[in-house]
Amino acid sequence: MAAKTESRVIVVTSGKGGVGKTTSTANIGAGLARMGYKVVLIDTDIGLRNLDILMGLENRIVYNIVDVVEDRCKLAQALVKDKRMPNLCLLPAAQTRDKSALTPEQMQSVVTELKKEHDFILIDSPAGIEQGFQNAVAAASEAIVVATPEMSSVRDADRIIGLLETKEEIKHYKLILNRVRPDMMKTNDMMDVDDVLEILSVRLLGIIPEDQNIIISTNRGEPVVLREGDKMPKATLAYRNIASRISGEDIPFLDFDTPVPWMEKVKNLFRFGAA
Amino acid sequence: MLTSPQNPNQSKLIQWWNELFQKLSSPLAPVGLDKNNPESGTAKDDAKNRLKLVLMHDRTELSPSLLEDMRDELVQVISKYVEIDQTALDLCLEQESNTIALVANISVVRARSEVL
Amino acid sequence: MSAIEDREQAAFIDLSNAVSSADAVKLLEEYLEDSNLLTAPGSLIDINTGKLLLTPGVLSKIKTVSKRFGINIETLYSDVPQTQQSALDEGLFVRRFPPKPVAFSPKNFVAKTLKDLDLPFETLAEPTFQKAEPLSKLSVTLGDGRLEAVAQQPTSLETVFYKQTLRSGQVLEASGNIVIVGDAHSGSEILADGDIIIWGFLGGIAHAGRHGKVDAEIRALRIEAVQLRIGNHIARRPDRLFKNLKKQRGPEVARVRGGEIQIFEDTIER
Repeated sequence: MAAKTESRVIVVTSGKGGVGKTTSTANIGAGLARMGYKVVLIDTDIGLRNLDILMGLENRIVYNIVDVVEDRCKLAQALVKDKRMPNLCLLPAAQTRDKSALTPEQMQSVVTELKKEHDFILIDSPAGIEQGFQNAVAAASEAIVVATPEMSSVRDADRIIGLLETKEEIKHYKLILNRVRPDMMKTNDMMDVDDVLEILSVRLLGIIPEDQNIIISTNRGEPVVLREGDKMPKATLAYRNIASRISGEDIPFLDFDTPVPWMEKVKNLFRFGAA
Repeated sequence: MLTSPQNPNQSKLIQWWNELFQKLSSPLAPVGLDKNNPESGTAKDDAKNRLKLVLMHDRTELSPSLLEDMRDELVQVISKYVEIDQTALDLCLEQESNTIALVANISVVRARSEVL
Repeated sequence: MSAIEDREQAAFIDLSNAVSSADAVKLLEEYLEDSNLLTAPGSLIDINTGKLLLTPGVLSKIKTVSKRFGINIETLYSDVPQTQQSALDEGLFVRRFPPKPVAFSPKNFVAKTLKDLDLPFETLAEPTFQKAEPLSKLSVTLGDGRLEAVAQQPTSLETVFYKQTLRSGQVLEASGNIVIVGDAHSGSEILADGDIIIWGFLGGIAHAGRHGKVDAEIRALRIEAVQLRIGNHIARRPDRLFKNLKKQRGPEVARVRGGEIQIFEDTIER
C-alpha cells in the first residue's frame, strides 16, 4: 500500500451565523468521501450541535468530543460512521455542555490522533469569534470562509479573515459564496461575486446558488452533494466542484446564468473545433 | 449628519459619510428610481459603498467621532511645538489595496522658538 | 378482525416530500427495505403523495414495488386530481387530506445492543458498573412468555420529581428514579440509576438503570426518543419514522427483553 499523504485539516468558518457553515461542512465532507478519501467531520459547536442532523446521524450518537477529551471513551468509540459511506465519519459535539468544555490544546491532540487515519479532517466552527471559534481554528492549517452576498455576512467574513491572518498555523484560506441569486445580481439588486471578492480581497473556492434542494436535503438528513440522477440540483454540482477543487483539480466556476452546465460548454467548444 | 463648526475643513472621511447620508436620505434613492440624480446608485452599489465604509472603520477600529477627537488632540500637541494653520489640517484614512493609512496634512506656519 | 381494526393497523408512509415521481418510487423502496415491520405478507399500507403528479404508469410501478415486499396499498392520499384518478383506476381508495399523524409504531424501533452498532458500549461501561443490588424477584410468567420476569424495585432507590419541560441541552440526572411531569424534547438527556417515568412525550435520550440495572424501565405517554438506553443496552430511533394512523395510543414502556430493548404498550397486566 502506498504511504499515506499528509492529511489536511480544514476549518469551515464564517463569523456570522446562518450563512451555511454546517451545510458546507457536511456537503464538502460527503463530496470528498464520495471521491474515495477518508474523511472525518468534527462539530465544534458545543451546546448547539447541528452537523449530526444534517448528516442524518443524530440517532447514532453515543459519545462525543467532550467525552473523548474528558477520557470517558476512546476516540474511535466517539466516531459515528456515516450510514452511506464507510470512509466518512463524524465526531459530534456535546449538546449538554458549553464551549468551555473544550480547549484549543485538547482540540489539537484530538486532530493529531485523527490525522493518522484520515485524508481530510473538516472542522465545523460555531458562529462568533469567541472560544468556540478559537477551538475550531486551533488545529487547522487551512480555512474555508463561508459568506453570503449580504453586507452583514461580508462584514463578519472580513473580521474572520483578519483573525485568520493572525494565526500562523493557517497557511491559506478561501471563500465560498453561498446563497447566490443570479437573478438579483443581474438586476443590480445585490452585490455580485466580483464585488464581494474585491471587497474582501480573497480567493474564491466556490459559488453555491440559492437552492431549495438544500432545505429538502437537510430535512432528509442527506447532504445534497450525494443526489444522483439526470436532474441533479445546481447545489449538488456546485458542492461536487468544490470538493474536486479542494482535492487539487482545476475546475472552472459555475456560470448560473446559462442553463447549460460548464461540461456541456466544453463539449460544445470541442465540437466547434472539430468541425 | 456630522458637522464640525469650528473646523470647516472636514476630513475626507466625514465628507464621504455626509454624501452617503444625503444619498440615502433622498426619498427615491432606496427604490433606485432616482435616475436623474447621478449619485443615486442601485441596491448593489449602495451595499458596496456602505460596506466599504463600514469595513474601513472595522479594520482600523476608528469611528468618525474618534477621528475628530484625534484631530483635535493632534492639533493641541503639534501646536505646542510648531505654529500650524489649524484650518488647513486634514486628517483622513486612505486605503491602498489591502492596507489602510492614516494621513495627516499639516501646514506649518513657523516653529515656536520658546519651546526650543 | 373488523375492518376498522384493519384500518388502525395500516401503516402510513409519507412520500409527499419526494422531488419527482421517480424519487417517490425510490423513497418507497427505501422505506420498505428499512422496515422490518411491514414484511408480513398481506399487510396494508396507506401512502401520501401530497402534491406529486403520478401517472398511471408510475402508480402501477408503486404497486409493483409494494407487491415485491408482500404489501398491498389500501389508500392513497393525494392533492392532485390526475393522481387521484390514476389511483382510482388502479383500484385504490383515494382521499385528499392525510390524517394528522399521531406517532410511529413502537414495534418499528430499531432495537439493538451496542455490539450491533459497532460501538463497544458494553465493554467500555463495564469497569464503572456497580453491582446491581440483589433484587427480590416477583416472578410473573405469562402464558405467551412475553414477560419473562418482573422484578420489584429495591426500596433504597429514591425518586426525583421534575415538573417542567426538559429542553435541548438540559440534562436531568439522579441516583434513583426520575419522574418528569412534562415533555422531554429532542436534545435533552435523562440519566437515572433506576426507572424513568415521563408524563408526557419522550424525544431526547433516556438512560435508565445506567449502572447496570437491566430490569429498569422507561415509561412515557409517547416514546419517540432519539435513543433509549437501559443498563448496557442501547436502541436508536429508526432513520425514518413510520407514522401510525391509530388515533389513540396508550402509554408506552421500554424494557430489555431477549437481550434487546423493546417497546411495549404499557397496559396493566400484573
